[in-house]
Amino acid sequence: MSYISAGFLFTIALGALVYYLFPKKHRWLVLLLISLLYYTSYGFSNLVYVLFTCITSYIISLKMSEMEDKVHRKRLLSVVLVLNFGLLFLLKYCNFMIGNLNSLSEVFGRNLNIAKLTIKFPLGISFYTFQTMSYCIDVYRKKTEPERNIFKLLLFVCYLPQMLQGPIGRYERLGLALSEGSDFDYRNIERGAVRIFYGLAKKLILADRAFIFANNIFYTPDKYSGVYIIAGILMYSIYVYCDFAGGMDLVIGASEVFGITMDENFRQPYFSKNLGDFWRRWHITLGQWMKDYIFYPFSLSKACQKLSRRAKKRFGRVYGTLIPICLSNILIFFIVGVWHGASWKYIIYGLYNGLIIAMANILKPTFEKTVKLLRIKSNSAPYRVFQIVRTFILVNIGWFFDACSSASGAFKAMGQTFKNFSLKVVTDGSLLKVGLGVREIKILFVGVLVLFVIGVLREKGIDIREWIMKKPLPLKWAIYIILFFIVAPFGFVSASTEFVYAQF
Amino acid sequence: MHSSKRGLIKDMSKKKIIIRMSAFLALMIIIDQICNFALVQPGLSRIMFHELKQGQYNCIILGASHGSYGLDPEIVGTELKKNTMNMCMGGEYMIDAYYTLEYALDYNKIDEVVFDIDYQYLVNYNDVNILHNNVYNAYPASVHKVGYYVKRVLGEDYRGTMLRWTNYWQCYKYMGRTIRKKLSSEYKTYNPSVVNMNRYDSYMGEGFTFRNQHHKKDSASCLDWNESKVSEQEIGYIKKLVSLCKKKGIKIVFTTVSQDPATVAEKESGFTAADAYISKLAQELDVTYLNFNKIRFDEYDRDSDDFYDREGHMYGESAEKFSQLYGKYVNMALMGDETYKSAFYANIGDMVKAYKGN
Repeated sequence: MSYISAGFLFTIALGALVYYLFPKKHRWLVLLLISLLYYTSYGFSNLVYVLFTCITSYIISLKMSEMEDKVHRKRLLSVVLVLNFGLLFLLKYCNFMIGNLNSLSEVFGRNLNIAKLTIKFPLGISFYTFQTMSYCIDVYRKKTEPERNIFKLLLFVCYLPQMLQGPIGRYERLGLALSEGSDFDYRNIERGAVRIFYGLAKKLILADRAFIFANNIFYTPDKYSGVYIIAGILMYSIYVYCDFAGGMDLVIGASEVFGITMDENFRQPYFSKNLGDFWRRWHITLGQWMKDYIFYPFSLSKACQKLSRRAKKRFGRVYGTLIPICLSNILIFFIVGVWHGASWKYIIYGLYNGLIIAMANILKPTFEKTVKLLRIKSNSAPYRVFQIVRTFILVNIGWFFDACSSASGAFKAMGQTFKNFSLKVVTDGSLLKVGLGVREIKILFVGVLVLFVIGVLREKGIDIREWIMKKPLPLKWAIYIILFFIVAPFGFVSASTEFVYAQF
Repeated sequence: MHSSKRGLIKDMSKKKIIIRMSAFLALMIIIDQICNFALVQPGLSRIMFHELKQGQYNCIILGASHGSYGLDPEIVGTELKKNTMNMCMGGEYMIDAYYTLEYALDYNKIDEVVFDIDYQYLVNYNDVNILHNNVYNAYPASVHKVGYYVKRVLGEDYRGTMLRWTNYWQCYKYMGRTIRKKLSSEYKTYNPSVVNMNRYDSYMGEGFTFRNQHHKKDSASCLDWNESKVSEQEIGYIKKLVSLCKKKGIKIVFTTVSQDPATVAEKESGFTAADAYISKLAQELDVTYLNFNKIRFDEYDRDSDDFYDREGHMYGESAEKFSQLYGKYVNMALMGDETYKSAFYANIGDMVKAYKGN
């Protein structure tokens, strides 16, 4: 059952009804039950992996909490990390490794021909593994108390709204909120429902429509060049944002219906001033996870400190401090790339982001000097627009790796951008032959404009949802009804309505 | 006293909230129903289900659009010596066929089921949106609809389930005409005249649509066969359908209506693989399978001119000719008379050879 299925919406509506009928202290049981029912609707085999993660984390976190000796705790932590990340690696990356080994063996004249595994990839495993491992690490660090009720921990692992595509929650916030339950508050339901339909609008009106265009271009990039490729990548950027952020709105909205507030995963990412800023606004919970569990431990490690000291001696204080940070960034984005999928294109995508951020760090003093030299006011609106456009272009270059089926395909498509470049295709109607007609383009244009205005208002701290909620009842209802009935007909009708991040 | 008063106020406000929420939901449902009434166009499927409900049939043909254009139930029924209803509808998947049979059994004493399988429906289940599903959209309210609903639509796009008018919203220009139609006595008496049909089509009753030869040929062709895309769920429903028939003592036969031989020749390997797949499945289920793509040309002489598209939908005149042969051989198969086999080529390859030889 996808998030836009009737089944999901019914599950949320009926689930909320039962949830609030139960006494507060038992409400978590209702959530657990509906989460398990929903997850098993994708097949029972999925449940086995969830149980594995839950049981190993439960036992080891309890054991860790009983130990005072850090070395022993670390050993136990290593066990749970190896077991769970090992399983993730086996399921997600093993075939990728086998494929590479086979190719490599062919190059050296020996055909290993290792058979690939035929295990069904469990849904949402990347998300719940990261989420549960953060719990284990926090228990190890004594940042959080271990959960003594295994079923409550199971709920944290498989909480219905978030388990397929995040956000990656933290036990100290999500886990405890789930266990405690929430009081019935009409405003939570109202807030949640509006957020759900905002998500549906993003997904159905914008993402599914933009996908058609982008997919037609990047499915056969050899056929297209110049402006077609630029239009295709712009459509892809609309698609990937609206699909993922729309999915998050649905998830967070569904959770709000139960009175459970989840961590935000997006904050107007296309308004970012630089790539680092973009990654603080895009998939925020993954970025935060990487920062807390990879970046800091790595950059504060003894080896990194040693490297920093040496670098300071050789390159001076500024660059000496920057080198370990740059290395940490490259490492993090390498992992982000790997997390996105078992393919070279994702690894290159990650490294591309890591290297640009590292370069930006290194060249920061030079940039600042140039800005001063040119007497540019760094807080002026035109300079900010320049920064946003520059970042948007960098982000879009990265999207080539995501949009194309392979890394070589992405480089080829980038090359094609500079071939047969003619603006004539914009005016002679050629772009309308790529899958979307005039009407579809108009809907897309208006939709993006609305999204842009909402984004600008949010940047200024104005929340339209709260603004609507304060309006008199008849006006509020009229707005809700119009919004609800607009999404359906203006949404694009296609059979493929899965969310792109649900495959992770 | 003070706290009980506060409790009373709290209860009152809770009640008020619940009333408000219920009123809002009711308003949404009313608007949705109004949109359905004013926008959803009356279709043939509604009439076909009504005909089925009359309870006079003892043979039912299930399948998709090839069957609805290719099989005249009156002619087929004469050969079978049964009152036959053609419940083939464009977009009828195996799950839809299963629930159509469930519905048919409530009102009819069925003893024969002819299940026409178009291989395209085995491979494209996940490619089609529920909004376009004729069977689901016309399925009458019944106990089976609950099961059908849970199995078929809960996992589908919410618009198809909750907001059926979405697919017809561009018919807002004809809203007045649609409302007038739905209020007319013709609509209430299930008269086909209320259905907006292609001007070359005539509904002949009992599920058969006759397409006039003057209709310009469409370019639509067949999807390619791809065994890896076969939906397990769809195969599961074929098995369920067969087991339901066996449980009720109903004879069942699988068929595939003849398609344009030029398309079969062009996609020979796909048709051969699909034929092998369905034959194997039929064998496993102990059901006879008659693939009329393999019928000999001296039995049924056909070429592209008999079909209004490359996919293989028949013109009405060809359909009437074909229905007679279809009925004859299906009847032989149902009676256990294996001599029907002599009217068929051994495989698709032989059929293509014969076609090219012509």
